[in-house]
Amino acid sequence: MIPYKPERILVQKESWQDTVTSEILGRLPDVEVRTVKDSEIRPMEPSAVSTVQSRNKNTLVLMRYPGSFLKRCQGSGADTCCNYYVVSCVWNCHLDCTYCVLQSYLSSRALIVCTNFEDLINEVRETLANSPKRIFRIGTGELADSLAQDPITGFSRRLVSFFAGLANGFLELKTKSDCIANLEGLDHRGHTIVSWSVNSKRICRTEEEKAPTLEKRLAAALQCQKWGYKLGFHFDPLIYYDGWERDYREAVKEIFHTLDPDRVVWVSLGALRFPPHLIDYVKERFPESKIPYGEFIPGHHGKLRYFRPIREEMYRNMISWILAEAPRVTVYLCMESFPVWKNSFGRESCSATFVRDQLDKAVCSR
Amino acid sequence: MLFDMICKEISIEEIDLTNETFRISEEIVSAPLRMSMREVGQLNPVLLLEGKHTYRLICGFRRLYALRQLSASHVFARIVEERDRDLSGIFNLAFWDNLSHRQLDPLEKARALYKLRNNFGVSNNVIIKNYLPLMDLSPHKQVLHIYNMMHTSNQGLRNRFKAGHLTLSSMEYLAAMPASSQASIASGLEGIRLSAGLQKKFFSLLRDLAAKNGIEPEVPFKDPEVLSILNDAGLSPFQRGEKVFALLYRWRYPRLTQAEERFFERKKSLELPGSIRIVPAPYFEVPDLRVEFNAPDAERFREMAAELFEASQTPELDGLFKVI
Repeated sequence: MIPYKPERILVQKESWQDTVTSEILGRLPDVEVRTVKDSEIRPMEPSAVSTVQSRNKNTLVLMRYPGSFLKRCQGSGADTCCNYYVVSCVWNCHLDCTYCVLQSYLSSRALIVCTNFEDLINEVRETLANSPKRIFRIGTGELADSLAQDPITGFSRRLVSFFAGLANGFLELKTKSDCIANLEGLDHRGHTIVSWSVNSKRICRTEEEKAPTLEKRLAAALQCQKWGYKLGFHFDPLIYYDGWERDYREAVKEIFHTLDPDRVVWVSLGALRFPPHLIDYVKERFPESKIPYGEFIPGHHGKLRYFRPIREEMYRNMISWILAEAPRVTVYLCMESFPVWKNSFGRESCSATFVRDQLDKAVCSR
Repeated sequence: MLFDMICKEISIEEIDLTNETFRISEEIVSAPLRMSMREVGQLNPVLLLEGKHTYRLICGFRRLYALRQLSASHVFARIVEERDRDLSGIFNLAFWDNLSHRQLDPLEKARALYKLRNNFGVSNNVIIKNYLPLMDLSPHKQVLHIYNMMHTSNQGLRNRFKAGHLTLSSMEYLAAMPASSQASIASGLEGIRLSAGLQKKFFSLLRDLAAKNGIEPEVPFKDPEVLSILNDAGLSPFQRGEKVFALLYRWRYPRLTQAEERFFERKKSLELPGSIRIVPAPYFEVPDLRVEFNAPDAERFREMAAELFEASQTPELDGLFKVI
């Protein structure tokens, strides 16, 4: 993997007071640093409707985020949602996967790190304390890769230690990277799941060019398994192409032949979906990519998705291959409708409550 | 005044009619102009550049053509000497003369921009900054690039564009293709007409199929099924256009098209009257069907409900829910 190394760092005035800022700057001693005003920062927030595209990912922005960190996952609009929560303290990713929604979703191309980390911690602590009987599965991989920038931010060490002390909180670090060094030697108490977004080797090679190969991701997973972490895998996005069956089946086998299936708490499946305008970005930025030429239809929330039989065919096959290798693993679908769940799993019970309970049980019992 | 104004009558024979260095007009045949010339004669002088032995026409291509059609031997002209300005400055005279009294059409804009850049050495930056806004075009490099390609595009495509058979965005898309693709597509388009709305989708399908299958965009026009549509004399050009579009759509979305066809066939097998409409969910995203009918009175309602009940007892109905 090509490590992230900014060419310049912009620091919001207030962020100078935060420990995170000094730690990050200490890890990047030879990078130009400039203090910037709030007015330069605001348009970069994810909620901003902005055309600020001038700064590229070589710019690292350190800023305080005044909004709420803890949010329900966007999949909550789907028929069957797993009831996942996300916290986003890093926005953007330098891995540049061709299909990544961040390229059209974020208003800025700069990589942004929120330095008011204590606010995040307090918010999570308070929310979880208010619902002590409820299990919270919380991930940091929605607006960024959870670990790709960890060598610079060091956030994983803080988060893992914090979640270790939460009775009803489980952290999921979702990544394509192999940046796991910070996870070594932490007393995680089983409250952190390190999970990998994986794909067939062909897709890793052609569409996830800057990310580590599947072998390297699995080597990192194996190391995490040795450190006692629970593991997760996300085949998301599943991409349909001639020969996908052979390639994905091979990837499934490789995962479960490398790792102990009983340490894998869940595997999610999500067929490629994206907002319609992303297609133009992909065509322009990655003219060699075949992704835009799938048989897509406008589906849930106006997103483009593969025609339903294609998705169901992929899911059915993937579920059978995964369960053949790891019969006790919890497999679930991301952002899918009842009919797709039903046709993919061949069972009626696929309510949101059922899925939530399955995942809560999986994370607590392993 | 930057140059002396010399006006005189010049024999048309002294003008090099083959030299189109300064021509901007796309169409030089103008029936109203010819009629005007015939009625009241030439009102405004053409602009000529004096050479050693002949004159070159700067402005007035249509006026001169009309005069020749009227068998005139002389033209009233203003003469510019080359020493007065460099060639780009002289082209500017033609440019501003045209701009002062009419809107340039897209091909004329393309011709002017191409000449500024390639014949008169005006830099891209100057063209983008100074000339594109004058032509109501966005001052972007990509716009200049597209218009330059449009000027050198296939003549068949240009003719279709001039005839109003291609929209500007279709022309822009086609102009960006290699010359060989343009020629094949121009030839393929000869037998068909596409509405403006359909053109965007049609060319988008061509582009997607090319990218998806790693083929040149004109390849579908060589397919036997497409050729048979193009050669079907019983169809109008618009009908051929729609049929070719449907074929491209089927190639681009094979599974969806098959499902739609299956649904249509199974619906037909229920033998319901046309007044009862059965509609699937958009793109079959869920298996639900919607049934609609209008009844002006209770009797008609009962009749249609009975038709539906009868259909509901047949195994064909189950097939309608198992289209995909």
